[in-house]
Amino acid sequence: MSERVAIVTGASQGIGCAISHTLAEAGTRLCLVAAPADEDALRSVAEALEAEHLAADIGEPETAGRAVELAVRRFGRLDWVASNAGIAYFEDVLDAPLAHFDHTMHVNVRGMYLMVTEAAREMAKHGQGAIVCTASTASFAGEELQAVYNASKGAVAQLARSFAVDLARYGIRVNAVAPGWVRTPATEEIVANPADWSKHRSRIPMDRPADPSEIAAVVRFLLSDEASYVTGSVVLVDGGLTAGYRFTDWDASARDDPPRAPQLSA
Amino acid sequence: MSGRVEGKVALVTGAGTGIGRAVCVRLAEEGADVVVTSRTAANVAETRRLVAEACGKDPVALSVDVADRASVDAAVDEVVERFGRIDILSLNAGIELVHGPAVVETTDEEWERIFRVNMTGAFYACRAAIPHMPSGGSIVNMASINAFVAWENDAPYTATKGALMQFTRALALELAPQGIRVNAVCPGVIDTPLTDSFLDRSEDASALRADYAAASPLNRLGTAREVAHCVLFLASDEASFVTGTGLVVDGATTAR
Repeated sequence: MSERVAIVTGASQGIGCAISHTLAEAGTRLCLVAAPADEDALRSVAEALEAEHLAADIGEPETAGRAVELAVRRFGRLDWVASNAGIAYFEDVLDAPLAHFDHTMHVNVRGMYLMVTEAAREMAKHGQGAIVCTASTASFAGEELQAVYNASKGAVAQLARSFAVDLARYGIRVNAVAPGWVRTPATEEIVANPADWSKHRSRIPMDRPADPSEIAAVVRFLLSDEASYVTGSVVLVDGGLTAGYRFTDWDASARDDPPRAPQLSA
Repeated sequence: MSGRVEGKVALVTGAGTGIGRAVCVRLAEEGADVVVTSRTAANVAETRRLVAEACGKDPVALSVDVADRASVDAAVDEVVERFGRIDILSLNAGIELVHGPAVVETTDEEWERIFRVNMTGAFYACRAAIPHMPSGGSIVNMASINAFVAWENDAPYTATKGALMQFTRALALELAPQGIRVNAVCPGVIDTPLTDSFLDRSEDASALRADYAAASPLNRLGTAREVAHCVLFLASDEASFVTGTGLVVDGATTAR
């Protein structure tokens, strides 16, 4: 793969951090974006990958434009975007303050819209580009205790499809990746608690959460030229979660050696 | 650089033309030991030649009729005898009723034939191969966007692809504990001999071809190789958490 230039948002941790590493290993030059509160973590990822970085609120109108400008000024072009920034609140819907609704939509939907449109304006000048939005199995299901997150990810899937249709004429492909359970800082408390986790893992045929690198591998494929006829697709990466129902109730203690992600070579 | 499916044994059906042929070449390029199978001996021979050209290694090539259980079982036996296992099962054998009969005009023979090839053939191949697939194995069924959307005068084909998609999901659940992943690739309109068979019957082939292209916002048909890239991805360890999924490769045809 020849050297490409990519923006990754939500790059300080979890899936975004893994996407950054995977793209860097493939020789991609990176401009990484994360929220101001995550600036320290973002800077250390950027230093490790010799990447540019920008700590700013993706839901504010100027952030995406600044990221595009930085990528183009520093690396001369923009080929790919992994628009990945997202937040979630887990809470009883009757207790959820309106501020959480606004914050979730601000980052997950408004931020996604701003990042894709700003990047596409630059890509359209050159008649090519590829964008992958991070959706979720929550784009399709009413997952428990996260009504607003589910709605925001439903919107992300619809944005990805709509952008794919509208941006095809400019030579830009847009897809979404829809992860299920992934072992990240956002989920580690649940995954680490056997009482909580046994409930969730009983729904996952592969009987484990994904490693973030396994989501990143799909993002890399969708960005790559090999996916040249793949656009408007929402690709589930969920270990079989949404393929159907299992009635086997796994007890977390029943298996001494729970399955783990294989070690992937670069 | 080592290939993305280096050293894996890949049994490919429907390998005589179009997508299946491109899958054989793509898997071979990335280091798989490909077993080329198709019903038509001449097509098998040509794919075999293309694979040898792509990877410098003469592949095993067999004439197999997926609609014939004994033929499928014999092929799997031969592969297992030769390689000891099957890592990748890429099932592409499929037919269309190109004359597009309305449901009330569809004969018993037509209905049974298309289900036998498109659905029962995949069942035969999976049933025979699964006992020989190790953890880390991957099954990739060639479904279609017709698994999700319907076209007029294509009810039997649409029904087989819907069935194949649901078979894929059910098998994914069943095989997850064994570490075998099962997915489908769901192409839109692809430039293959199967698509040509519709164009050939048309009064104005170039107008129909333009209509097919316009179905995608990219305003073109996909190529067999573009679909093969998707099969390679799902077959490889890069897709290690992807199971029970239909990867749509349709140039956004079904997104709008």
